Amino acid sequence: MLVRPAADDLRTIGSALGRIFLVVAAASLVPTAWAIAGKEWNPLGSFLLMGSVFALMGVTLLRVSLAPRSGITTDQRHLEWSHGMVVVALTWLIVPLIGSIPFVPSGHYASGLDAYFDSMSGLTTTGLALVQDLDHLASSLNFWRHLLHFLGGQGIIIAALLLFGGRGMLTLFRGEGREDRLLPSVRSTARAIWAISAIHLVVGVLALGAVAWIVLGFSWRRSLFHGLMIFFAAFDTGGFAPQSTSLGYYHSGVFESVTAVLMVAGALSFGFHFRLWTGVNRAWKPALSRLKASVMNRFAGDDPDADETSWQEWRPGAGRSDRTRSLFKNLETRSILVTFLATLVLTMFGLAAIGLYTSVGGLSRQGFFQVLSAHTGTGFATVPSSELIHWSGLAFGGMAIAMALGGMASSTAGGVKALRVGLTVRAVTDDVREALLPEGALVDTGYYQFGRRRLTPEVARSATIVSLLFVALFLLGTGVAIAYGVPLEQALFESISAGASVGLSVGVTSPTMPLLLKLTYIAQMYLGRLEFIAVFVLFGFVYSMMRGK
Amino acid sequence: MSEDPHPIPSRSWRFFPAWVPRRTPAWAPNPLAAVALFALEAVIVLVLALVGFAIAALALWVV
Repeated sequence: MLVRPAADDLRTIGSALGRIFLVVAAASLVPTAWAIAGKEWNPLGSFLLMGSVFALMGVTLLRVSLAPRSGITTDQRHLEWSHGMVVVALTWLIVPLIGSIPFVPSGHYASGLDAYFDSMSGLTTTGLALVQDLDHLASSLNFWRHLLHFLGGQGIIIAALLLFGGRGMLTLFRGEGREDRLLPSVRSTARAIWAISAIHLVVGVLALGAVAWIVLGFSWRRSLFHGLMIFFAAFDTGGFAPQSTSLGYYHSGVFESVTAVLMVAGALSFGFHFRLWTGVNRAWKPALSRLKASVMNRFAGDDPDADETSWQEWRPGAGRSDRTRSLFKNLETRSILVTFLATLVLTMFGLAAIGLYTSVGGLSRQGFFQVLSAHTGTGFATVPSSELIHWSGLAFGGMAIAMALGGMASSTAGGVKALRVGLTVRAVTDDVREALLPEGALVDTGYYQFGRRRLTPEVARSATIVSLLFVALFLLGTGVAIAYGVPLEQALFESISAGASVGLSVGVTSPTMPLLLKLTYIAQMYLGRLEFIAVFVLFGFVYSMMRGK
Repeated sequence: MSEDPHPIPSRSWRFFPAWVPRRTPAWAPNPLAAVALFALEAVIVLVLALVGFAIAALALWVV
């Protein structure tokens, strides 16, 4: 029997949504300031409108949900699992809708749906684009497109958690497909994720800007602009580029190399970064402390020591020197390495067979970068879609599998995720071993993932179910495209690209594509980013509102 | 009147919101560690690129 949600449930959801909209309203101040600085008055008007709508919706929802007559205060409001999932699903539907307001009057989109498509593509870090004449898009609008990648990759929910907190944060955290709790509290985990991203932002933008300035000869302003845009797209594995030719615009192996580092950084889980970080910190900290002490002694005054946080007591085995090396024992790390190398071999041999690239340098550069772009879910292209369409046979197979498998869990990448692939393969091999061994023999179902764990039937089932849902999603998009006469290979490629949040295109995605296909890809991007469960809970919630008792 | 042995500390006014940490946690990143982390990721990419180069050479030789 379905239970109809009560008014209190709606108020709980409303208060959480209100806070999230206020966070996005604050974020919209950045492109607004950019438009003012660039004297782009038309986009400025639409950014002000967008920010006002977010702020108004946020304040209204908060006032209504926290009204005194409701009898419920913020302290009593408890965000349950279902509430969190509904909040996440609604956020990722509504924010792209309001976020597309600046695109509509720009003249670069054929319709409001195209603008919503790009907005959803930006927020889900997919990178498929329906924008027309991108090379002449206003720089503030270009910035907003890339900022959507940053918001989506880091997680709007995470930003809201950081600022507002509240009970039931874990449900929101998990609803966005995040599983790694780096630190004991969700708020400190959210803080750590943003700190890791901020540090990469500074180092990444400086590195890309330096390459653009020194190697490409851009002016310092242009270098910073391109560095910032490419950073957002690379680290958040989004794939939008400030120019229509994507990364091919720069014609620079050095620029592609720095971008590749950021793409890999984006595809690594935040847990991996955190443990790598604390390992580096542990190695550098004694040396830094001595240096700091000697400098401070010269100028006198006390330097208070940093806190020893409780996580060091909480994490088992903390303080071991091999903590960083143990990252490479992880099932997920090994899984992603194996799948990357396998897809690289397939693609390289396929390209060699086709004869598109006849030199080792050309083949390794294009093949390596494109497979890396596909596997990390970034979607940068150093070859135009008219050339990518000829990557058939083994090369197509390698690219499609790389896109479908995706990056690490709890990273900014999409796809099935390396951890699920590893768990599914491990579950199958355990079943085969159990069948081959004598009855009564015990099979070791352990695996290593930031510590020794047991592969329980529930974990194996969950990994397998989500993997199958992704396959169904890819087939759905393929079927719709084939119905419109798109050849099978191209339909499958584009569908996987949309569902796995990659963004590589063989030309199917265009402003002239059929309405149903646009809606299908929007749905694929949405479902793929949220990994299904939050969306299904939303459907169930709406159904229970209509049919519940 | 005897003094309270466990006085409740008064709430002092905070300039920053509650979510701003008052003291730097041990895991907080420092600039040199940021560069070292970036360099480590660059080494990972370099190793993978070299492997890619070898695979490309093998592919062109075999096919």
